[in-house]
Amino acid sequence: MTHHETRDHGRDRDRDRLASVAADATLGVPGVAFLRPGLTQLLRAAARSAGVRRGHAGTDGAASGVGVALDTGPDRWTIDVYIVASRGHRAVDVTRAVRTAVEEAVLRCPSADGLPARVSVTVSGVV
Amino acid sequence: MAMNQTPGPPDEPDEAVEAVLDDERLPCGRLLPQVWDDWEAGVVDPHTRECPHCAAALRDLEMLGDVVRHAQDAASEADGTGPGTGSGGVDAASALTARVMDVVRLELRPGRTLPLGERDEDAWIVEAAAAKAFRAAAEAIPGVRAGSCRIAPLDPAAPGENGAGAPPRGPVRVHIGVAVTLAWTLRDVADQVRARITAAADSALGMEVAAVDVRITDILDEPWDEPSDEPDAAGNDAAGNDAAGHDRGTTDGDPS
Repeated sequence: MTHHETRDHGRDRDRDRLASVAADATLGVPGVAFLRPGLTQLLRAAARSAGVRRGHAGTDGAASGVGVALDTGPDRWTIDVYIVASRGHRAVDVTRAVRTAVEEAVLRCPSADGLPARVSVTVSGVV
Repeated sequence: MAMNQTPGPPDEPDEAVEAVLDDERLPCGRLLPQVWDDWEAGVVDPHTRECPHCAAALRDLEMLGDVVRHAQDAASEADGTGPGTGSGGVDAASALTARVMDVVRLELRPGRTLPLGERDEDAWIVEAAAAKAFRAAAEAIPGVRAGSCRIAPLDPAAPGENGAGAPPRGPVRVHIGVAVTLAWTLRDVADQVRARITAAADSALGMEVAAVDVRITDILDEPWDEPSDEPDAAGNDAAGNDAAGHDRGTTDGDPS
């Protein structure tokens, strides 16, 4: 494996780890009903549990509802979080709580490599 | 909810049906919830069998149903006493399925991404979710049925912090169609709808609504809600007459 390939694999792992950490942090926020059950991820999960091989590569996405990318210039993580919010909570307040929770979780996560995160939160539904 | 019963896309949908069509129409013209309902009811339809869009919608529905059932079983097994056990199980599972389906519909037709909060915040809501909240706010008014609700930025060029390519962050304009009973005067009901939506935008969402366009799209024939026996706070009596004996239809500003 070349050095470049090693680094890419490392970055993929970091991204997956950060997505997982961000997802956990998000689910702990009051007012978050669940992470958007992106249909593609839901169906992949369904296919897996039904024992069906979909014969289709591509990352599972560490957790549905969270996208992580690494920006350069400035160097930082971009974390996109999609949530379904609960009724009875003001939607914008929930997004703010999610942003805070994810930013804090990223700060504590070694996979972040000390880089800051820009967190974008989108409410894709209210139940 | 009355749906188009004949096969094929409707010729001249009225506004109320068009509201649903706006949000939930498959490319073949069929209503997504109608396709799902028919499948669940066992209705046989040659169009659905041959149409790739309907077939895809049903495939997704079946897989989703499997996932939900699986999750439901797993949850009740782990819990022992949770929903899915006992007679409450079926209702709980149906309620869960209905809620998941609700979200799935939004997934299929989310619409625009609209801003929440301040100009420089990175918080958003999809149009379908906001529209649902606004329709619910309008329908809290007696004698009002909400139809199509679209939301658009007032200024499409208003940039967010993210600059070019990002959705605009400024205030929005809401367009909503409503069907109302004849008991309402049109200006009063439009004002009520406007007030409710603006309030919901602030209290439920945190979205800045600059304007609400209300279209009265239909007159409902439905009987008026039974008023209570006591006169209400405005002095209106049970027959819906105000203190001066005029027929008010409903009480202005009464958050029933």
